[in-house]
Amino acid sequence: MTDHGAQSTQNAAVESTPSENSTPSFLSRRRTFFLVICVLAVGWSGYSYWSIESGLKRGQQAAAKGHWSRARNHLSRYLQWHPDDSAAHLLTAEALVRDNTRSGQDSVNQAIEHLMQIKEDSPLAATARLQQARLSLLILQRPAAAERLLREALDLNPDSLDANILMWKLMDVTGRHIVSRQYFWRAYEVSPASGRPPLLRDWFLAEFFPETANTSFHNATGARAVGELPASISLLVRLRESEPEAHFVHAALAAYYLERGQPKSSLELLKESPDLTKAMKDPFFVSVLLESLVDLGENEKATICFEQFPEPHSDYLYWRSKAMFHHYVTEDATAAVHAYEEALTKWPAKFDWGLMTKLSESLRKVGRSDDAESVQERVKQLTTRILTEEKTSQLRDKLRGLNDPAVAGELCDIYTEFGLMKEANAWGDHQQKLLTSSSTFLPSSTSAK
Amino acid sequence: MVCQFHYRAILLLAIFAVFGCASKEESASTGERRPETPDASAGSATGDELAQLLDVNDSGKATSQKTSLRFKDVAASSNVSFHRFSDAVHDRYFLPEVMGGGVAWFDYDHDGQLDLYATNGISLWDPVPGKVNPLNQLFRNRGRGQFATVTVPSRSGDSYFGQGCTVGDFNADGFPDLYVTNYGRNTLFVSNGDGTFTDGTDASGLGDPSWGTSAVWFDANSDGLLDLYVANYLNLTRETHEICTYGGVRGYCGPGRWDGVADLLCLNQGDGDFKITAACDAQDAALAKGLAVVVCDFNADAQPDVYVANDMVPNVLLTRTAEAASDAEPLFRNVAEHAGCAVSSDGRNEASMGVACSDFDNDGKVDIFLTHYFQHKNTLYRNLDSLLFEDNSRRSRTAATSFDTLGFGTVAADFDHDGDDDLFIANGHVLGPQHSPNAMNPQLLENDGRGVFDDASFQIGGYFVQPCVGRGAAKGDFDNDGRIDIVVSHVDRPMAIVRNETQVSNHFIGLQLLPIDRVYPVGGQVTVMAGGQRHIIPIIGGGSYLSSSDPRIVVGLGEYEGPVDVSVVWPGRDTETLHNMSSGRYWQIRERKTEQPALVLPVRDGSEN
Repeated sequence: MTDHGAQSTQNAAVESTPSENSTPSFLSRRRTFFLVICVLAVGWSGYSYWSIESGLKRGQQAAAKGHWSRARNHLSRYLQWHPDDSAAHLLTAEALVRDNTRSGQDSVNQAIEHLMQIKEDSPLAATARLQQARLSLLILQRPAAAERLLREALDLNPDSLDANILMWKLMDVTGRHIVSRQYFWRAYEVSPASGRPPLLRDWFLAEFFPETANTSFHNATGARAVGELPASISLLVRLRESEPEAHFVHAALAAYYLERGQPKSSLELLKESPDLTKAMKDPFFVSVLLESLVDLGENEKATICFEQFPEPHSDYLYWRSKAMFHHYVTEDATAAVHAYEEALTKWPAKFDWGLMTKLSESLRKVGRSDDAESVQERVKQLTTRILTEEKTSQLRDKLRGLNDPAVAGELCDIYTEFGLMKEANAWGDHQQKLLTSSSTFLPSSTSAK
Repeated sequence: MVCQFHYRAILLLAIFAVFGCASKEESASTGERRPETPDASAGSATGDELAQLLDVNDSGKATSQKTSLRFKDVAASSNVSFHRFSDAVHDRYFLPEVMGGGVAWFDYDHDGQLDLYATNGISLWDPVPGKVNPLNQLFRNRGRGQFATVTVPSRSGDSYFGQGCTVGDFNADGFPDLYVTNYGRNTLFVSNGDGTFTDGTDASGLGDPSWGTSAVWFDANSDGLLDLYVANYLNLTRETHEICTYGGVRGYCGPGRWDGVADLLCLNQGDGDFKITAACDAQDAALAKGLAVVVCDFNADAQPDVYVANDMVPNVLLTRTAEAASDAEPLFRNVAEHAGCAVSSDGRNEASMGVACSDFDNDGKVDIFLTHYFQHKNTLYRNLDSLLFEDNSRRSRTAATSFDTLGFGTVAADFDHDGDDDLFIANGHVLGPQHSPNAMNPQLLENDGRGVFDDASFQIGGYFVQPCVGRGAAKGDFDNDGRIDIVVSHVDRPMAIVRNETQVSNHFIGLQLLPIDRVYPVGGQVTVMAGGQRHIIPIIGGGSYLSSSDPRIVVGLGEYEGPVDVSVVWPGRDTETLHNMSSGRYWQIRERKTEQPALVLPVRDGSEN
């Protein structure tokens, strides 16, 4: 091809010799050539402009067809000229993650870089932070980063259903079910009506079957039961390795061992938290540390620890910790009773029969025997009638389907017995809807007969 | 190291979660920012100070404090060679194999020296033809620290799978009788007074075939006759036997697999016969899984109360019912739940194995110490008075010192005569040797006088730093030197006689109580006034695990060596006081003979042994 081309050029030069005398023709040719070049240049520029400007659209079209590599190419060019386009960054991030031809770690890191380009004043900023959080948690397994990003996402859009759900789940899988309730309720409130029953079911499972409540999450992150360690703890171990600075993961693991009678192991795990000053600003961390010290009879250290308890001094964790501190360290039964009673006004103390038993002991100590009996009776009621393995397991089985008004009614009843009226009312609403919808069909079915 | 799992597989799974809901996201709102993390309000401590909070290595060990306590296992040099036969058949994991056996100190021949009894196992399922089953063993104390086996001549062996043993003179003939609980029919050995025993099981009706564990003699109905309380464990038979798997390794199942068996209260009819009754009317108590039982007066009403340590079901505290006048009425009612000593302060059932009672915090009230499962705390219930207890395990550090152990036999005694009762605990796991940890160090917890304990084990003698699988334990001053010794039965090694060799500079007084009706005054109380210090010692029956301790009382007086006054509350009768008794020796105190207390058993120099 090259030789032929060279030859034809030479021929053209030879043929042009006789016509050198006809200047107008020559000029006309040059003009034409120039014009062609100009047209081509303009065309090319136009094409380039069109290509760049339509890159986002074409990227979206390619993405819609699942051509992620092509979409990424379109978007890449587009972003060279539009580096601040949030939508392009968002779609590029998605293309990077979904493109099977690329290696995982690089893709995720690049995706996060794109998401980070979306500034807070962008309408897509909340979505970007949410997606960053998802990548951080599910892929990079960096829960502290994910939590920070989710907080940013919720600052930007407190009504984000997905951000609230993910925050709830993040709290749950990192051992902090105790502080997850507000996110569940926000998610419930902003959820469309059809999405609410599954949320209620998930919440019930999280409350009563913590080991298996997040199975899909464990599957997504590849966490498996190892020996006697359940998947939930395997996940925590992995999260700790991925992000050692996430102090609440150390605390969650410590709480697991504390619960199993290993306060020394608990302390060892807490000790591995690299930034203790920061960790001590987290009530969850401090409460686990305090309980470990109390269990070990380290009363002086427990006193110092309790003095560091971070604000707000108003939630369940604080009052529970304060109650245990007075119960076991200062042995001030009156103060312990007050703190236990305050704790009992907070969720989830309504069914924390361990806390109630402690309260009962302190009540007896201050001479309120009748109140102690009444609390003990409540404990017995909870442990033998409401919270029995048989009953909760039956409910779990029944909850496979959510369209049985009787089951919804049963859940309504059980939450009513706990005194958790918000949950009770939610299940009651669901039951009412089911009954209404079934009665809607009743006339037609009746007439059919 | 972050991603050792199948990264791409997870990535694929995650993709759906990551972007599945993106379209649902709404535009950002411009609401006010919430604080990122809760602010610290009181975080004034420095990083170093905070780090020190976490620096709690070897919690519970007496690192800062030297102890004078010293012990030595002298079983071999005392001519006691006894390795309990457990019939542990490879890969069978039949629970009785691993429960161990009991031991008892008692002076069966009235020579003033404590003799030793130990229960033994037999072939549980398939006896080998021609093979003679092992017998329980009686070792006679010949003095000077030497024992001799007298099982056969004394006719105190037994042909059942031995568990516990308890000593009491049920027929008030002046010679202690022996009741042996078995996996199988229990046995009553009646002392003939001449160093031999007769099997009185059939005549007494005490041959209960349930799986008996611990038992205790005491006068339950205040009729002047010794009655018997028998704790029963599980309804486990060869047919209902199961093997459990832990982390893929087979082992012994826990008690949850089987129903419990009701304990028995055997009321002495005075004619050699016993009337067997339910211990109380509480349904839950009837289904208890008892492993240990102790009797003393918890509420200062001069009546014996019964505390039963149950395995993974609520413990039982039985007090006498006021209306128990007629035979139809139960003698006792279970008040453990109301008293706050049925479950831990967390509301959890605990796997109670052994029990020891004493006034640990010297407040005049009898507290309860319980040994529990591995990675569960041992529990100390502090008596708050009026049948009200609180779980004081954390403050007393009995929790901190127990998370790495699984305790069985336990005894409370003032081993160093400093005026407070310390605790000995025999430890060892139950899952089987394939599981780790199996053998564990025994422990001696030293009381600081306020009911707070330090684990002194690692500096008091070789026996305490050799892991073993301990079970039954009993206290007794077998060499009459005033220092309380211990005998411990093991699953994995021969029985140990742990002699107290503490160089004691403190003083003591020893008391042997001789009631007029020959019924050991369980439920009574001894008060010793020594130089302005008051020591209150409950008179206790039973305790530990499957075992029976020396009934003599040794009271540590600390540095005080002057004369002491001793008051004895004989249950249901008068209180008697004896004045100006000299310390450093044992005294026999005969009821209604206050003018002439007899001095016996002068203290020997421990070096003689």
